Amino acid sequence: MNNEGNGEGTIVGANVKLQGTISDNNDIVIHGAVDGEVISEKNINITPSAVVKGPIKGMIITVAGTVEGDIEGTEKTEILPTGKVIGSINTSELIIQSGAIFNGECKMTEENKTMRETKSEPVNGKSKEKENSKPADKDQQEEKKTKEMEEATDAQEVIDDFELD
Amino acid sequence: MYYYIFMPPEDRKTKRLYEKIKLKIGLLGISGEMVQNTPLRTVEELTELGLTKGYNTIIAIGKDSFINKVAHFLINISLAQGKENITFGAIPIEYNESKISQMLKINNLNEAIENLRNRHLKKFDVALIEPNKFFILPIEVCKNKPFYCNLSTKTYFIKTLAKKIKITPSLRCKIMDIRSIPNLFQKATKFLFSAPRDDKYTSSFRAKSFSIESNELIPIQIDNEILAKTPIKLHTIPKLLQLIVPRDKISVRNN
Repeated sequence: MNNEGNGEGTIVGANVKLQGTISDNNDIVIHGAVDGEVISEKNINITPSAVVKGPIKGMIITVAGTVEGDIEGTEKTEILPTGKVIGSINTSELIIQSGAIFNGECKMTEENKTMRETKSEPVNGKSKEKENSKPADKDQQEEKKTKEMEEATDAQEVIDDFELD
Repeated sequence: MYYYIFMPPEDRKTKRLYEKIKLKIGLLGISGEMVQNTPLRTVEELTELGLTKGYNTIIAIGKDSFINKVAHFLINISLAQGKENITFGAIPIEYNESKISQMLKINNLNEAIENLRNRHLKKFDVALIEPNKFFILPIEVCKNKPFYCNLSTKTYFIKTLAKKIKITPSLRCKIMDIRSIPNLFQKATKFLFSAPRDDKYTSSFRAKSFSIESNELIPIQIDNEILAKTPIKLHTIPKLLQLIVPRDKISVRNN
């Protein structure tokens, strides 16, 4: 493990093939091919030219390349339009941009549950798969509450119209 | 008391520079024994002589490769003799592209000699090429053409085609591909582009130890002087060598 706290991280260049476990206290940027684990205490950036076969674990993970393995982003995981993930994602915040491919399971931790899904539109005949997410029971309860709130506000609006009349 | 080891002068200009250095050293009150490397007295013998005579501060005056050579022998001999608290200093004779002057943050001769008087000490990392080649300045592994090489650490293995590999004493390794080194046209038109391009062909990593192998013998050099050839194994030894460095400067902004 690279123990420099606030120093330069690890960069895997585009023409590099790496086998094994990369682990760093700082950011990791991957442009090349990695066959193994990628672990960082900070951010991991998988660029469009990167191919990673193995689990990835970090704080904020950005995927613009191909990942065949499980991803664990303790704070946030984002899949950019050129990103392709085949494997499970375990994260607090998930962003999947239009054009991204995600084929696997997703688990969201209970703290800071936010999931934004951009509408996927077929482009050039490519089919995109929606994320397979299983909302927890608490999610369903919260959805019910928001629905109730909306109904209540709708009722109030009707009353206001009568009053104006 | 200081022990000064001078590199053999290559021309008259260097000889005049040495006289200037000796005069300044005398004026600042930090004079000591001054010796010069000759074919009859090698750097290793001179360094060992200085330590045997009891000098705790060895100063090397010369180019980067010479300064690194003195440091290498100093570390080897002091480890062999079990001597501690040995201090190393340097006075580079070139400042434009000198790695030692960048490392010590000195811009000219006056600053270099002034540092020796201030005697502000700091411990630096030293790297070792097995079995016993130490280096305190960044080294380069390069040839006149790109080469295939394998780098392996305890946890991972890298295969790549490299043009140049730069390694610092703390074992921060930068592998530069042929595409990450700009060609003549790119260098000439660099001023037209304000923002630097993202270099995705340069790899950078750090390890406590790693080895470099190649299918051919690639030289490892400092300042065009060859230290070793591949295959090599490297280790870093943190904070092994005590160097004389400039004092930290505090500047006041004028608002």
